[in-house]
Amino acid sequence: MREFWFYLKNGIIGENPILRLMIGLCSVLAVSVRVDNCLAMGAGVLFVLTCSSLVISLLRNFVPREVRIPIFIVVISTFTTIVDLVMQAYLPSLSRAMGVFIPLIVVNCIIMGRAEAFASRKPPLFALADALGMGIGYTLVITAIGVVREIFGYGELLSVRFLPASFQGMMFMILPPGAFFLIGIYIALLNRFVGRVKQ
Amino acid sequence: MSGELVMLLKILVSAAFVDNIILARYIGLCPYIGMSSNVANSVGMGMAVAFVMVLASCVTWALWNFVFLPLHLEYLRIMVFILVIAVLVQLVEILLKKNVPNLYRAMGIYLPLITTNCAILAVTFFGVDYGYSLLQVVVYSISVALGFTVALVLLAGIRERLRFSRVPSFYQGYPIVFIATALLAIAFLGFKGLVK
Amino acid sequence: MKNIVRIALALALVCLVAAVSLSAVNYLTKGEIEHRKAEELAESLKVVFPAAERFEELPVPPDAPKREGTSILAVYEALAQGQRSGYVFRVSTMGYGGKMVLLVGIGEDGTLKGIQVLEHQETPGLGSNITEESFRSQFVGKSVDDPFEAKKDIQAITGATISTRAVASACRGAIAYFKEVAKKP
Repeated sequence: MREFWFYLKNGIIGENPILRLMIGLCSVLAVSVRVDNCLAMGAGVLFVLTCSSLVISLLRNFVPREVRIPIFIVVISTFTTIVDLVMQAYLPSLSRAMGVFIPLIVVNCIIMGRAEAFASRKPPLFALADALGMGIGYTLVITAIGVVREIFGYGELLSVRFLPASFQGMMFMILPPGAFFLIGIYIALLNRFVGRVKQ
Repeated sequence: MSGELVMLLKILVSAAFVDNIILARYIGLCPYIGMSSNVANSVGMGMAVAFVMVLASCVTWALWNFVFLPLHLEYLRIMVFILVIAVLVQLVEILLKKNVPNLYRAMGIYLPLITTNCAILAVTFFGVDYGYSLLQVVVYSISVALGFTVALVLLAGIRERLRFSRVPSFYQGYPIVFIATALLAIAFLGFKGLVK
Repeated sequence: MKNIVRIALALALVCLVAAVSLSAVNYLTKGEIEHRKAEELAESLKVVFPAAERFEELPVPPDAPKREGTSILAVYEALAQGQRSGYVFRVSTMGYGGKMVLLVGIGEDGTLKGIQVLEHQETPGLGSNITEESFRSQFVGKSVDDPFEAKKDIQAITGATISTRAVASACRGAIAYFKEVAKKP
């Protein structure tokens, strides 16, 4: 049971997918302009990651090694399509705002990477813990970036005006460079406070 | 005919520079960060990605227009497109291993990783969503691959130089890479408004 | 030999389960998705032509040439009390940052009823202000015989002249098509 919590915590901090493993970046930078997008993306990744990892872990003894990658792809793309269809039907404005990044969840390195490195080798309970940890870690970081970008870029938080109306907004934060910049800073901060990863 | 040519030129310039897939759309970052440590690797990566991207775009375009639309199977798009890419990457792997074993070994783990390259999948979606003709899709995918390689090579050049700079300890390694990329992205903003 | 059979079987089984579950989800969500799309369209059309009760799509020839650098994507007839009171044109043109898609509503009387920006890739904070009510409202009531030129009869957004010009040319394109369509019975 202790192992469960270890894997969970590991996904959030020790091996945080974005700040430590440096995977799953594509979606982070483009989506993190508004906090509601971040939460939706985090939820989507968490869902696909958890479901895929569970299924792949359950199938791990039945899948021949040679054909495991295509099978991972089919499983992951199935859950991604489900998220895509459900969002189009019930959250259409969010779906449109996030555009191509929802279907791109299927190639999110986090999901494929964890399937290969972890879920296909560990029992379902641990695969679940790892998936939850990674998903939560991902959501925390992307939201942390989103909060800064929305406040300094639009002066709003969750589309509620936060800073005085006279605050015009730093365009730097809304455009690509701001996002790259923030990630660099966050990684540096993590290094400073939680110890460095061996380069 | 010249109108068609102008359109193709517009696609080329906007896909490669104004709308650079990495620096303006932030798609395709994983290999960007992982493979850009030196210029030689970047060029190799760029070419491999270009090959898969162009082939995949054409195959998926054909599948979409001749199979998906008539049969109303749009919802299977994600799965089929990514499987097509996976198959193509497998093919490239086999071809390289047999004909250019040095490059095959140099690319190592990053070759199968091309499958999960967000940029390739994204380009297959864009190729059909933008309503391009087959010729336009070919030009589009080549241009995107060009822009991808350019961004990769630029960053690799910067990283090679960075090795001789004094970087504060917490910024060493990835943080400074991201900040350098931020500056590159700002530079590419200068292309906006180029295509009327 | 047995190995290949195992592999093929595993792959086929997984694909089958995946295809079946996706068909199911697709079937369940299809209705809702179509409903949303129709709702969205109806809403935008209403914003652009508030006086109309309902809209009917008209066919657009697929190879229609561009007018003023603008492509005509769709034409809707605006109907009130069973009579045609005008049209809404869905047009696309190139803006500063990329493709721009707009709805332009023109009444039978030759006045603009409104515009709506559906898609754009303009710079946030500058060109993106073309979606603001304050910018769009200046188009309401203009005549199809007006020049529609930025900085002349169209108030440009400071620092976003190109975006403004794009909107203006989109209107001119819609107007040009309107003049052709309005000639038909």
